[in-house]
Amino acid sequence: MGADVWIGLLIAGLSRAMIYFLLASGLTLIFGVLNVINFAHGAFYMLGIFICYSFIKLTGSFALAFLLIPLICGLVLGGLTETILFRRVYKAEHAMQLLLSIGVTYIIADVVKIIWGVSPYSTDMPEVFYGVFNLGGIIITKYNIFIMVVSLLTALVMFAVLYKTKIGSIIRACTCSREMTCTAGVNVSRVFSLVFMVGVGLAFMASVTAAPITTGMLGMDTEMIMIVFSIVIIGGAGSIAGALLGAVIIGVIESLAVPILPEFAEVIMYIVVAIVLMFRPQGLFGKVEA
Amino acid sequence: MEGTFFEIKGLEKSFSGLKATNNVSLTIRKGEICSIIGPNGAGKTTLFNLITGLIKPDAGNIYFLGKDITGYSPVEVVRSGIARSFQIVNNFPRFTVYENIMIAIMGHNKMAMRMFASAKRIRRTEITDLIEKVGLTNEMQTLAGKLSHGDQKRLEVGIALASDPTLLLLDEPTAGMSSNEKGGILETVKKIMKDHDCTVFLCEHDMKVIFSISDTIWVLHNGAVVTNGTVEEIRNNAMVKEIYLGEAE
Amino acid sequence: MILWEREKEMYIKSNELSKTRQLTWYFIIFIVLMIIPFIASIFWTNLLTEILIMGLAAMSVNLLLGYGGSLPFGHAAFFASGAYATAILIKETNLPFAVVLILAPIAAAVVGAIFALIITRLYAFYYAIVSACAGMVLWTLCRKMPLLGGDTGITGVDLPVLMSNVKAIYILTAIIVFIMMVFIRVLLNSPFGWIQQAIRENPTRVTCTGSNVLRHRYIAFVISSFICGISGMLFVVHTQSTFPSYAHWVKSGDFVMICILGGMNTFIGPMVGAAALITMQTYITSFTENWLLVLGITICLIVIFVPSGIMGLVKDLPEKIRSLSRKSNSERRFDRMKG
Repeated sequence: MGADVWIGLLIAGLSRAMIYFLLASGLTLIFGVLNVINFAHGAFYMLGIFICYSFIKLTGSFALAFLLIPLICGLVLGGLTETILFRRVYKAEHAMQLLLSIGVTYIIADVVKIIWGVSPYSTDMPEVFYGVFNLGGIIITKYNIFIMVVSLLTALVMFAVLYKTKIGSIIRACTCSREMTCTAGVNVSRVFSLVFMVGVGLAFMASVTAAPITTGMLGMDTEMIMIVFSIVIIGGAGSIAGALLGAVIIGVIESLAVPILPEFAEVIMYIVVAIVLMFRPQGLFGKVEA
Repeated sequence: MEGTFFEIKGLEKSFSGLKATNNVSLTIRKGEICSIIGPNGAGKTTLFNLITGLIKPDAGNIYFLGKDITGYSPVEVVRSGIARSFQIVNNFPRFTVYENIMIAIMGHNKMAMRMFASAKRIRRTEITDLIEKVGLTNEMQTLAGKLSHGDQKRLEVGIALASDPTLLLLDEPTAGMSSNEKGGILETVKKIMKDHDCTVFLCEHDMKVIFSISDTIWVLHNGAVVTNGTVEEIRNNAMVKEIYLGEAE
Repeated sequence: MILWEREKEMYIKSNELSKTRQLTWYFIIFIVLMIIPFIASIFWTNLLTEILIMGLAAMSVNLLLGYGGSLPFGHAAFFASGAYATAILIKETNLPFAVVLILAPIAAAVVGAIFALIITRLYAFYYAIVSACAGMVLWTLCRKMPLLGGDTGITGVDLPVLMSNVKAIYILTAIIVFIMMVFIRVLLNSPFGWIQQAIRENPTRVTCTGSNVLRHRYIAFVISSFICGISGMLFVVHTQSTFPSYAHWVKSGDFVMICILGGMNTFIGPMVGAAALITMQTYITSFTENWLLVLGITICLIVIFVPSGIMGLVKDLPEKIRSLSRKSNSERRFDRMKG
């Protein structure tokens, strides 16, 4: 196989990695700040793909979908889930938190089945993204560029907010110590709601970004959540940089494994997780447990 | 080295650039009550953690009964005969006093893998005797988390004692106690030393306690050993007084 | 000192009394279990078989969850290992049925021993996610390896003539589950079981008293996977088929949910949870397709309102009633004061 095929696979892998990054960053943010593992993240992603399909069918505008869906769904669904459900288990045992998010996954999965039925749906590629760029023999589709730009911009915005703004330092303070931040007079529960909504919003942004090339089917939530969790584990829980690195590793390996071992790409991914954890049990960028 | 009971040579430990233990060397003689004192942050608990294997030193060696025990894991340290009580109470709060000691006895007797005996029926005399030694017989069925602070400290000593140690490390055993309670636990410790033929190495903040029972006192400041001596020597040491300015009894 | 001797004697006596009481209970429960297939309908016998199997799987998970303080989210892997081992051994070899029953859980334990090498070094969420990942590895293998039947699984597993009826399957299941539950109870009351719980409470202190925590967690995990493998094996005997979905993390989540539903801090909780869940599932799926929705809502309600589970509620009930009456007494006094 020629080098251009490998490069093509690499680019495809990087594209997928960017979608994974958007999901993983939301998940790791929620985990880092709220110390809650949200199994429902994959379900939100799946819901987003279906909502995007229906939205575009209704309005015909991908741009509108891209701007509105992450914002509104993040706000509404994220806010609702956090207030009604997750807020009550912050002080509970880890098993309860995990189980609650699994319950939410089931609810969303069945709601999707009720509203959209069992057949898969596909959103068409928006015309704006037709066509490719040719960089010295390497073919990159306009859509790939779009994905990478969106993800990298998101990453930059997140770093900027977390490290250069007041709200960002408050969020980082919550990651280190909830109690201290509370005594400093910060309304911690509002910060938590905000972070949760942003995290869920990121999941929906991933949905909209991925919609043109992803077929919405039942069961994609459980598939996706395992990949995203593996990324968060590899990168280190709570670390956005880790999510980026982990996503790239997983995305590229997944893509390059296709010609070699098509059936077992997932297994390779889990083996990578195992290897990373054997040498660095806290993930690549994670903090060591005291 | 050969023949010495317990010796530390040149122990070093840093955390992110901060030297918590700075070239610490000290010796403990068999049968004595050795104390280590120093203001908050001097590195006493870090030293205890290094000796008991909870953290690994960056440099230096620890010798016990002629063996080099540097780098031993906590389990290996306990098996060599060193047991330790914790400054911040570190028991099993949802277990009763009996069950707390039971766990410790099981650890000492390597019973963790025994699956077909009934835990509450074995070694009963040993466990109840130990509870008696630390004066907690009336609280035998009380949950550890519901004990008074003084009793919890007694339980701490009891758990450490269950490992039948040759060297008993006590990390601030009287912290948070009233003066009555302090006297009580000191009597208990002295009695244990006699009955079990063990040596005691303790760190404390209360100078009265230190001066009343120690044979040798070592002084730690900013992670380094500043001086050592008998009670009289340390009591009259100007440098020690200076270090403790504002904390003197 | 005389008082002390008397107290010791009373303590010993109380334990011995409960031993005879315990044995009587074991006997009664066993007899009841054995009589059921002869007085209940086929439908209920079948249901009870499934409840016993799932309950045993949940109990194996609860060894690590409620008693060990871990988050085992990948035990479906061992359920599936036991199931697939049974199916393959019966279909592809001529080994006698009894031998298959012994080998299948051993296969599950071997898989458990391999996974435990990594998993038992971890704690909390990392433990949960990695065990889930490990389970998914097995799921992928079950789907993709032709040896294991692929996506459609393995069906048409023949049982010996003696076993080819519902009553016999039930009796085999009941006997094996009963023995395993006695074993689990003995285990939990042994030094091994107590160290397990101590590790849940304070692993550092356990290490400092001389017990090897890592080794203990490892062995506990392997034992748990062995028992889970037994339930997988029994399930194949019950349904004569096995599918890749038996290894999916959704199934692992089911086991954890059963534990929490029934009460993860009690011995019998997981079995009660299995009974509750399977009965509810059978009832609800008979008139609606949206079982997942009901299940999800139930999970949310339980986690928020009844986290101690059914048995937890039962145990707390006498105290709750007492405190309720206490409250109303003081409320009455307050109202009288207001006049």
